[in-house]
Amino acid sequence: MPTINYTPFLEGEDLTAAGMNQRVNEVANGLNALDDSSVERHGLRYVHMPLLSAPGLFPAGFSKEAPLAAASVLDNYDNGLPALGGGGTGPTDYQTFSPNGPNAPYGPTGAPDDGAGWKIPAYQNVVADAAEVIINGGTAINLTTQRLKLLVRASIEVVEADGSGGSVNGTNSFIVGIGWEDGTTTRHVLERTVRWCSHDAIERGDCVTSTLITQADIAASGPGDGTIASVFMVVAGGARGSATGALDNGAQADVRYYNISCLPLHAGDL
Amino acid sequence: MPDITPPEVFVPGDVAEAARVSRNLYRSGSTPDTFEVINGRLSEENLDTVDIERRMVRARSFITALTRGATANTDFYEEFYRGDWDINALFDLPLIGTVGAFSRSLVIPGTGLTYTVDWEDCQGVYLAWHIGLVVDAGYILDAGVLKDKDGNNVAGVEADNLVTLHIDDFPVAPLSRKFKHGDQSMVFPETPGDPLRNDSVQVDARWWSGHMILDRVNSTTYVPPGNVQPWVKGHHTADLRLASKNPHIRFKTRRMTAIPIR
Amino acid sequence: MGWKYPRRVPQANCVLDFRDLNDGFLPTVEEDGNLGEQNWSDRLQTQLTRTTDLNTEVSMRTAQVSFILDASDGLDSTAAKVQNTQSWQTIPGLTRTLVSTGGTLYVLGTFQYSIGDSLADDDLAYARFGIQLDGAVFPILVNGDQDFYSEADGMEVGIGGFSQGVDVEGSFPVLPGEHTVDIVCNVRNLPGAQGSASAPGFYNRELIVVEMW
Repeated sequence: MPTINYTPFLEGEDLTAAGMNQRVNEVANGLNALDDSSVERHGLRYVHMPLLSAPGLFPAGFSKEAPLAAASVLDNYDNGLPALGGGGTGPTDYQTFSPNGPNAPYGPTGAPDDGAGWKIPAYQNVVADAAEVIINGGTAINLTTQRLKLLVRASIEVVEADGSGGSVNGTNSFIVGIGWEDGTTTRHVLERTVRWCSHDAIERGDCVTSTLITQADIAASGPGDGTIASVFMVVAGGARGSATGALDNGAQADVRYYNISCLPLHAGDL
Repeated sequence: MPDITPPEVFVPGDVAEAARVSRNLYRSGSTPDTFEVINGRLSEENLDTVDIERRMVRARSFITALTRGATANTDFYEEFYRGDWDINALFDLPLIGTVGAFSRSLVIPGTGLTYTVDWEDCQGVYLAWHIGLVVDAGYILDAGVLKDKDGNNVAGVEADNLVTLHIDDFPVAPLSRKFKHGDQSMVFPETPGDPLRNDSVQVDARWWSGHMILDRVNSTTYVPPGNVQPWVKGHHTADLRLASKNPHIRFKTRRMTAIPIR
Repeated sequence: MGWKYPRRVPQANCVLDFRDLNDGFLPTVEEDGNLGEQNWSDRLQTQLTRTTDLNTEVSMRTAQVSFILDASDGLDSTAAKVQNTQSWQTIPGLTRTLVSTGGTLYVLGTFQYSIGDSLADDDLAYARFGIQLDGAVFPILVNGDQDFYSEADGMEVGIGGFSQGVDVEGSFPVLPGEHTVDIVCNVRNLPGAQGSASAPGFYNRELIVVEMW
């Protein structure tokens, strides 16, 4: 219902100060307490609307790309993932990051790095060039408070890889995924984003993975602390083993360009 | 603006002055305190703890999307790229007179679109695309040995081509890909008389499902300052372009999507 | 609605009529419910904290992280599969029926795909992927070839290979009402080549639908 409740003057009504004040206040109070019913359908345009994401939430931008120089000298990633509980066999541990190499976990290790964990692509180990989008200058935010969800996509170009090989022929793979850093500077990987890309299939040119990150994904009741400070891409090499789930390491790959996109959406449920 | 407070409050015994009555109804001023606030000065303070809903907002106020594509096969042949130029040089090198790949690139039909930014405060443009292609380097499998069409052994799998995202004609270099040569040819059978075959582990179809956001932070890296940036209100183009020294590249289903965001 | 002014301004030395008084108030009163772009100042808010969901979306994801080999057909027995036919089929889980107020939808299907477990299989069954709206696949939103070539197997039609991450996405307009969006798969055994015993398997997968506003 509209909010202005006006009592018309009636014929023969005494004109009093109270009566005049009443009508003035009825209109003024209504104008001061408008609600959605007061607004004409589609009565607001973009000029009346704020931006999708609050200014300052993405001071470094929504996107991160490899530097131009990444085409001149190729980085080699030779890091493998451990198995849960350690070792080289059994279900894969998708949460461990390699501590090896300069500026770990950013950039290549520079040597075989079996079973050590994920790396975040960063050309020549330069952290500023990492496949990572920093949110709010690194001060973690709560997505519900900001009414945001994040559509994140990550891609990387594999140029040369081991090719056919692995315990089961043809299974050597480049593994990609998307992760986030929380307010305690702990990194997590969204395991639903993990993609195994066979070296043979990689020959087709690109590895990509995407996801929509919501507050539920980073909730304090889950692996995180309920806040998010950055999103990043993770890479590793590996090979599917036998039916027992053996994970071979040593499936290395040279990479060229990479990029990550983080699109803020102000979205609920359809 | 803050809530209005009508200036005239009547007290019993006041003379019923017309001017006092009208002063509450309408009085222009820098700070609206009459019903005149309704003339373009209502603001969120006048909205009493209500959330702005979609019903109230016109479409295309935050984000828009446009997708264009093509399905018919499109072929690029080496004859399109004759001349002396360097596939490994991205840009022209003026000092040594090298012609680079970007200046030789041709738009891949079906991957180009013109998008419109409707707002002065656009924050960026999200672009997403997909191409499928087959690279025919003219290779022949001769008694188990991979050779080029001149009979030379092929030493390793190469990629003498480059597909690059272009925005308003400017190349976005990190959004480029090289595609490995197919180890079978579409026009040279494995053995003369054989049907054409693809029977290898190294599959010949190539895909690229790419994406990029050009925003107020990174766009000047690719569109030099002084040029209209891709998030400025108005019309812009986005496309993929190919530079190639391969005998034949065939593109299949392909598309480009542009999503400006406020 | 446009700007409003009092219809009658009370004047000194004029007869005071109740209708004149009402005419002073009613133009403002009548605007309530019709407030439009002419009535509001620019930029109502500095950030979207008081706003409910404007880019409504539906996102459904099925996390299937296990990715090991199975003795029978080379795929993890818990992998979701489609039939090895040549018709479009919905990838299990990547379907959603929604009600739209009309406008443009952006759809992104992202998943882990794998076929076969040996060299003999991985190059023979090719899959294409696409986006389907209310039963119709959009031709330009297909990953893979459109053509049914006449030569035996001279052209790659889609994706082979052992395992790969795939994104299929695009935008399209929809009318107001209920719609069903699917990410679909179509397996094409090449004529003249051996049919593959392996059906494509799907592991981690997610469907994201965003309504543009």
